[in-house]
Amino acid sequence: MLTGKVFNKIVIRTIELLILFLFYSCSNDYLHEKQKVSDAIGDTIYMSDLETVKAVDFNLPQGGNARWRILQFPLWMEVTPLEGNFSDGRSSFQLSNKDKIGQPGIVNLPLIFDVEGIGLVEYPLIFMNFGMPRAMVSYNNLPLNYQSIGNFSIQNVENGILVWEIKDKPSWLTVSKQKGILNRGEEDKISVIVSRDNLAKGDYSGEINIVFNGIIQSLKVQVSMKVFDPTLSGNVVAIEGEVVDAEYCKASGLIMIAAKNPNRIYFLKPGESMTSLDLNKIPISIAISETGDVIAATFTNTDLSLISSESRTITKNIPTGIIASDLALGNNGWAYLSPKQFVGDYLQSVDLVTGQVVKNNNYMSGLSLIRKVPGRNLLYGTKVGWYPDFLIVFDISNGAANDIVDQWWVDLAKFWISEKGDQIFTGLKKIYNSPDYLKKGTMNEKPVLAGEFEVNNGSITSMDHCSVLKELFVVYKSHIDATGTQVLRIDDSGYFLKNSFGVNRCLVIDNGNLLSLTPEVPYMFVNRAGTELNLIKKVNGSSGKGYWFYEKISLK
Amino acid sequence: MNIKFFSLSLLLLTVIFSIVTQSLYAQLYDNKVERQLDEARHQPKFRISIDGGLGYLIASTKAAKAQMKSYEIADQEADRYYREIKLGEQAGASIYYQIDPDVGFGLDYNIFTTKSEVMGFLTTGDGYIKYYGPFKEKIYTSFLGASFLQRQNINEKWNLYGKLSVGLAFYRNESMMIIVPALITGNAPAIRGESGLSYSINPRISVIAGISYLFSTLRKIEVNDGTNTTAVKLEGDMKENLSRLSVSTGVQFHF
Repeated sequence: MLTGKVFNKIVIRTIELLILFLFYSCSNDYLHEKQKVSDAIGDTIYMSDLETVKAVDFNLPQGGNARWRILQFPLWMEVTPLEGNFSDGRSSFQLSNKDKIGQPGIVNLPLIFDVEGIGLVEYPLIFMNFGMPRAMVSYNNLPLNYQSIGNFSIQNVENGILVWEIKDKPSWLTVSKQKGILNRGEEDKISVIVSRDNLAKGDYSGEINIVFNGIIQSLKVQVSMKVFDPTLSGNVVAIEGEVVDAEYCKASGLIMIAAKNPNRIYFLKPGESMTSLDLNKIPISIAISETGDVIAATFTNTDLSLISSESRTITKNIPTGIIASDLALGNNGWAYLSPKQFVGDYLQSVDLVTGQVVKNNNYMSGLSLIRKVPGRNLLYGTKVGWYPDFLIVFDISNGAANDIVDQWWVDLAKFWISEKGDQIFTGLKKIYNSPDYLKKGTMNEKPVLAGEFEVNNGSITSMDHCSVLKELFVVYKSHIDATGTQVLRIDDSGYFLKNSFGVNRCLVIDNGNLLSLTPEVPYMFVNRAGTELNLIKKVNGSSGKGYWFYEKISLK
Repeated sequence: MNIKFFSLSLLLLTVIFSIVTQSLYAQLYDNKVERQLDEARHQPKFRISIDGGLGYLIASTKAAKAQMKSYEIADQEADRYYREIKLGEQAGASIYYQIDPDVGFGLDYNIFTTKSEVMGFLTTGDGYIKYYGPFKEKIYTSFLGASFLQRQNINEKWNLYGKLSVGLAFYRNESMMIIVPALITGNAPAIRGESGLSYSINPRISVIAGISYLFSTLRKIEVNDGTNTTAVKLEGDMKENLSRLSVSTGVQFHF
């Protein structure tokens, strides 16, 4: 019986095991397990498809020494290593760009890590995909010759975001844009501007090297140009309005520029910023006394206005009854007005204290340009545009100009007077000793000729004399476009050319186009010390509109 | 329950059980005549057996390995993965009613389990995201069927036996693709054959060792992702071959 009991127990246990087998079942809980999600990493990874590899710090203070594994990452990237361990919450990994993705743009796609004991941790990643752009330049060759400006464009002709940058260029070249970003089909227009400062005469060429992120990684644009004469350039300031006159006082260093549309007088003085006086009348001419203490201007309403050299405001208006073409100031409290051609025919003297206007008896039809002779009570004038245009000498020692006027039978084509007043320099390149007032009336002879200087193929537009440098500065616009506008530095006794330099072209945006134009320089002033040259430059746009600039060039 | 642990335990139990019962019988029946008389009095009507061992899936893994490449799993890793999947542990139990000492009819139950894990990549269809993580499967294949048992005496102690069972195979695949779980289940008709040797420790207890073959092909499955369950009909090469070859040892009770 004992045997049967033991055996029965064994059989029962076996049957229990069989039943366990039969009803053996697995749990489905794993289907519903939720992943624990932790806070995101504070930092953001910024990367673009231009970067091949990027090392990234992976710091998670609560990570301790836990193991981590990358779970989610962008398809086109590789994460190395895929798994790792924190060491006191610090670890690192490397991201590398393996493939290109199609659509260019910004992709915000975080990395997700599975961190042991913490759960899923997000690491923000912002990826800039530039795609597969392809660059084209409009010209591979830019022969500029004597031009100072040229243009080319960069275009993106393929799908992608093109990033371009000019990495290298000749030192004598500046570009309007150094770098840019272009979507498909877009283009950037680049202006290249040549500076010929201090370049010797000759032919120059160089390459603009442009680098890109696209299929083509670099392109070159060949630029060549020629230098006729080295140029000097300085600070250039655009002047609003149309300049009608400009004067300079060597004693005070003050430059005054009268303009219309808008009606305004600009004041420029070394060490001061430019100021202006807005006017409610149209200026014709402006003058400043030798000492700089008296400033006056004439207007189309026949006013002669006195302007304070201190406050630079109008202090007195004298109605003269004439429309002047030019104005000169004596050191005697009188002003002198030449008449506007075909409107008046007589020189007028104006007492600045009483306002008395005295008409000179001499019929002076055509008299326009008048200048006070420095250090002497004389006024020189000429009939610009006439032949001969005469050198006319007015005696102003008694205030109002003497009715007897000396007229020298000489052709001048404008004139400029030396700093000390002992010589006159003419537009016809002749130098005459300044004649005294002889009280002879019209003389069928010329003043004493002192010499002649040379200017090749050009029109003299302005001159100035610097006794410190013993130089005559002559500015002329060459008839040869390549030569442009030149400044000649001529010895004031031997009249030989000591030096010359080119005046830089003016850049203007005219009807939406950037133009480089050869300027005229109607006014040029050298300071008394001979260290600065002041140019007032004018260029005409395609529609005839004038653009005016003031440029100060250092002569040191 | 850990099936592997269970299978090994069963094997160990079989050995221990044989030794213990052998000595017990030696004490209870101290002569051969008494033992023969007892055997004559107790011609067994039922046989219950439990066994455990190893099974080897014979299905081709060529297509599955090729699929692994799309997950950027190296060939060596894929080989290892399927090597581990093919070889699993199994345990079984059966009960027979003997219409005579050598022929019986009954029920046959068998369970086979295997698992493996490999690290791989998964790409979403949007072309932007890639996942990295474990690909793992834990497979259970159980069989329950009506069974026919035939025994043949070799000598007093040794017998040959053969089983033929017809029934259903139940398939359960607990899979995880990185973070996406899925439960794949299904069942299919199955035939299981087994032949082996038994050694009678005494008239009531034998130790058995056999080799078996299960033949079944899964043609329809249900996939449960934790939210939805989808029925999938498997066509052509997609059909899941559950067939396996197994070796096992166990113990059989006769009563």
